[in-house]
This record gives sequence, C-alpha cells and structure tokens, in this order.
Amino acid sequence: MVAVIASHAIHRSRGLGVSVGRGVLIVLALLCVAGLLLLPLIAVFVEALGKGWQVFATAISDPDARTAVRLTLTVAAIAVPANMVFGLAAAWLMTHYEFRGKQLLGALIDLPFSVSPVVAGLVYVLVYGVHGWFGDWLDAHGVRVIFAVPGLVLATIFVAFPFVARELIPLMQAQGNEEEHAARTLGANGWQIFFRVTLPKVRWALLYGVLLCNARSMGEFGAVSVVSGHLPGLTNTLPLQVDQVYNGGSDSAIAAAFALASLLALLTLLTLLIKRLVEWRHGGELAHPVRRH
Amino acid sequence: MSISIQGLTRRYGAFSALEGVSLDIAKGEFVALLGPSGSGKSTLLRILAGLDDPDQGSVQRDGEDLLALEAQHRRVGLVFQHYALFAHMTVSENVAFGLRVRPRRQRPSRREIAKRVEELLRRVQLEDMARRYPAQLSGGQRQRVALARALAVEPSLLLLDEPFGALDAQVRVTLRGWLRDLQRSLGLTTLLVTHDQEEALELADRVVVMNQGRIEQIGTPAEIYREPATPFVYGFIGRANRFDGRIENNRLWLGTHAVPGELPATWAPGAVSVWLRPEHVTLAPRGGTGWAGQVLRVVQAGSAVRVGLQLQGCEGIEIEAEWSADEVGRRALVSGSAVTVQLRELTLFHAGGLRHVFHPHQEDCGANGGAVDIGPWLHRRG
Repeated sequence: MVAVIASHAIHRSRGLGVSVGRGVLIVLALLCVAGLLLLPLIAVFVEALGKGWQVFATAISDPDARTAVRLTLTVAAIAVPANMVFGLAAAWLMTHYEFRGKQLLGALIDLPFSVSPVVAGLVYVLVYGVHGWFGDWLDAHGVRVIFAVPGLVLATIFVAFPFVARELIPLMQAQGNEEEHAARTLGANGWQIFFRVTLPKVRWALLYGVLLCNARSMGEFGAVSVVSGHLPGLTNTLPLQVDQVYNGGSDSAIAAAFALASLLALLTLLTLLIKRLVEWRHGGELAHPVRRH
Repeated sequence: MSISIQGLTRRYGAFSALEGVSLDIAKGEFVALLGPSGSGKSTLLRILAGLDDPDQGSVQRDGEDLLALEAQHRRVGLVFQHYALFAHMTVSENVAFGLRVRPRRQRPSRREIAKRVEELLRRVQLEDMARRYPAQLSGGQRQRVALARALAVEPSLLLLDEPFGALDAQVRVTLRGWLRDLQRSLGLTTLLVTHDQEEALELADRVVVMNQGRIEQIGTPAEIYREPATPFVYGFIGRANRFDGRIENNRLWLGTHAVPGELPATWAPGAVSVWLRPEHVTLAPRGGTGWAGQVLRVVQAGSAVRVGLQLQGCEGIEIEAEWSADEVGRRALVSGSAVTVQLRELTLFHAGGLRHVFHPHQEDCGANGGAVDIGPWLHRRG
C-alpha cells in the first residue's frame, strides 16, 4: 500500500515537473518569436506609417523606388525559374545516378550557404567586371554584366541556388525511384516519367523550395550590392534602395526607408499567403500522404 | 510467349550478381526464382524488365532479342514488393497509366481506356475502389492495383518481385491462391521472385533455386523438395539435419557408428555430407528395432511436434525429428525419454558433386553399441 502511494506521488511530482518544464519552454519560445520576429515586423509597419500616409505614399511613389520595385521583381522573375530548373536537375542527378564527383557536386550546391554574399559579389566583379577575366571580351561584344541587370541576376541566382535542391534531395532520396521504374516498364518515356510521376511526387517540396528561393532572391543585399554600383533608378533593387534612402540624411529619410522596407515585408507576407492558399486548396491530397516503408 | 535466357552474367565491381545463368520458360508457365537475398534472383528480374543490363548473355522472347529493346518497349509487366503505385493518382488513374502514356496513334480512346480499367478492376475485385488514392487502401488491395496496372498494357511476360513480401501472413496466403487462379486463367508467362519457399513451392509449375548468382537446381516443386540436387538446395528447402559422415571400407560412418546399407560401389573412401529430413526420422514400433537415442527437447509447432534427439554412437550431434502431437502424447515423450528411431532416408553428397540416396538397413544399436543385428522388422520388410 505504501509502495503504491509512493509510486503515485512520484508519478504526480514527475507530471508536475514535466508540465512546468513544458510551460517554461513554451513561454521562452513565445518570447523569442515575439522579440526576434514579430516585434521587428510590426516595427517596420509602425515606422513606415509613423509620419502619416502622405510620407508613405510619397516614398513609395518616388520614381526611383518604383524602378527599384520593378527591378527586384524582374530579377526574381529570372532568378527563381532558373534556380528551379537548376535545383530540380541537380537533385535528380544527386539522387538517381552514381558518378565520380558526386560528393563534390553536393559540396558545390551548398557553397552559396557557406560563402559570404559579399565575396560572391566580388567574385563576379573579378570575372565579369571591366577589369576582370572576361572584361575585355564582354566589352568588345557590347555586353555589360557588372553594374547592370545581368550582374544582379547572376548574383541573385548564386545566393539563392541551394534552396530548391536542398529541399528536394532528402525527399527524393527517401522516395527512391521505384515509381519511375514502374512507369518505364509501363511504356512511359523520359518526359512522361518526369512530368507525370517525378514532378507530382515532389511538388510540395518544390513549391516550398521555390518560395524560400523567391524570398531570398527579393531580399538579397550583400552580393547584389557589390555588383550593382548603386545607380538609383537603374541598378538599385529594393533592398539597396532602402539602404540608400535610409542613409540619405533627409528629414523623412527614416520613414521613407521604412515605407520601402514595408513593401519588402509585404512581398514576403504575400509569399506566405500564397503558400497557405495552395495548401488549403489541395488540402485533400495533402491529407493523404503515402505511407512509406 | 516463351523466354530463353542464355549465359547471363552481371557483375557489380568484384561482386558477381549473376554468373552464367541459363533458363528456358515455356509459354504460359509459372516459374519461381527462389533463393536467399543476394542470390541474384532480383538482378535477373531487373534485367528482364530492362532496368539493368547484363555484362554477357542473351535473352530471347519467341526468337526476338529482348535485350535490344528499351524497357519502355518491352511489354513486360513488373510488380514490386512495395507496390510502387503513383500516390498522386487514383486507383483507376494508376491502372490507366500504361494506356495513357502511349503515343497518340496506339492510344485507345478515352472510353476504351475507361472500359479496360473497369474490366481490370473487376478482375482484381477492386471495382468499388476506383476513385480512392493508394494511401487509402490496405497492402493487399494496393498490390492488386499494382497487378491490374501491370496487366493493363497486356504484357507478354509478367514479373513479380517479392509481391507478397510486405503483407502479413494471412493476406499473403489468400492472395497466393488468388494470383495462381488469375495467372492460370490468363495463361500469362510469369516469373516470380521470392525467398519464401512455401510461396514458390505452392505457386509455381517449376522452381529455380538460386545461390550466389548461379542456378543450383531447376525442377517441379516435388522434385526440388524430394530430390534436392545439391547440399545447398537440401538445406534451403524445408527443414534438414546435416552430419559430417565418412565412407570407409565401403560403409557409411556417422560418428563412431557404422550405418548398414547399400553404397555405390564406385564411391571412394572419404568425407561425405549427410542430410536427413525431420520427417524421415520415425519412431520404431514398440518392441521394434532401430537406433537407440534420447530426447533432448520437445517443441510444439502447430499440429506437429519438433523433437530434438541424440543418437547413441553419434554423441554431440542433435538431430531434429518431426512427429505428430498424437504420437508424442501417446508415448509421453519428454526431455530425457529414451526412444528407438528409424532413419528412413539419408541423402549423401560426396566430393565432386556425387549424390546418393541412402536407405539404411534398420538395426538395433541400443544395447550393444553399434554391432550389426538384423532384427525381425527388417526380415519382414525384405
């Protein structure tokens, strides 16, 4: 009887300890999320609208700002599809074939994660700049890469490269390629296998990778900053424009910078919203993931 | 369609998955490839399906070179252990896949495809599941969808790669009988890969036992079980006892004991491996002659009882016998009981691939430890 009571007591005290621990963890997590993520996001919008709608409207309707928005969208519109194709190809290669240098390819895919974006930008300047390796040749053919849109696109592709591949590789590895083999024996050709079997198998991971890639492409500062030359109205993307306005020193500089920053934040929120919408619309299918062995 | 496989060899680096495998399969025949994992049976299947290429050898289908065709043009149906269904397609979309990917000219019309799918789903008894997704089906149902999908393209050869391996025992047995009926009614040439001997022996017209990339024996299930051609087959199929024996003075010795019986006159003295099925160890009738021994353990195994024995004169070797629960109960056998047994049939493998089925003359070795004493039982029999 004593033993029963004692063990009961132990259970209860352990239960209490667990629930206290869980509570502390939850509070800590909430504090971190609030302090590090939510508060700054709110601050962006508060500061942006702090000097009134007038300042906000002026800031975002400034011709240079509008060019920056357009440029950011253009760069993302080229870099994201390019990275999607590269990422799919790289993931396919990494998971379906055995070849010499596979390890090296894996390391190269991760390179943009480990290299500082500034270094990445500088490398492009050194290779494609006027005084770079291909500078003379490019100049002779009238192609301008650095301090122009092609350079921005290249730098953005570089920094956002790993997202799609890194989302896909673990999934494709886990899924194996039995379905593809089955499709082949059923008479499907390579394209049919890719579009009807492989792509649907990875579509959610692909979407997630593309969204991350897009967020990074629009928000990139370091690498783009090096290759852009900061020409307002010409080569300033939105993040660069924010920086330039912020350091501009005018009266409403801070409010204007935050107004532009809030646009960037809105783009990000929009991305998240699209993701939620797609998940909601295809919820029926998502609810029945295949049980794997 | 008949299949003729000649001298197939496949090596992965130093590992030899297939080593000169030759096999003929007749039209409509059901052949099982049986062997432990790594014996090369799945490699053979993958080569036939076009998912792997051999280093040497040829495969002919009705005289046509099968290996020259790409996998997608072979019309070979393949069913995988883990089903490999397309998770994002419904059951009927899965079954229709092979028809829908055909080039426009060979593709049946939508209505024809729908009709075919319906027919096939009725065949595999899943007509109510047409609009479900694979994840909503049980394992047995999924495997039937996979089979319907493979059959939809009207394959000339059906390959089954451990099709029941991921299912639980009861479903496996039900599906087995069902598959056999289906295969018979379609008259479809079928090759089944399995490591489950019961499955192979029950389903197949002929069984091919493989080991380390080579074929050990080809035969009907009865031949494979009753007349194993090699020690490997004897040990792999069914339960078996194995002893190290010797031949000296044209007699077979087990331990310190000479077993009387006929040996081929041409066999040279030397070591032989001796194999014995548990059901070939029988209890001598009361008062009858035989080998004295002692029961070491009694294990219930369903309707049968497995009894571990030690024979006098063969100390240190435990042999397994299989007796009915009735008999064990009637004689009240427990660990330690003294018994007299008769060994009905020993299979001897001598160096150089020689094989002999040895029927011991029953004798009493209980009291006088190995002396030959031809008892009344044997006289009656002879």
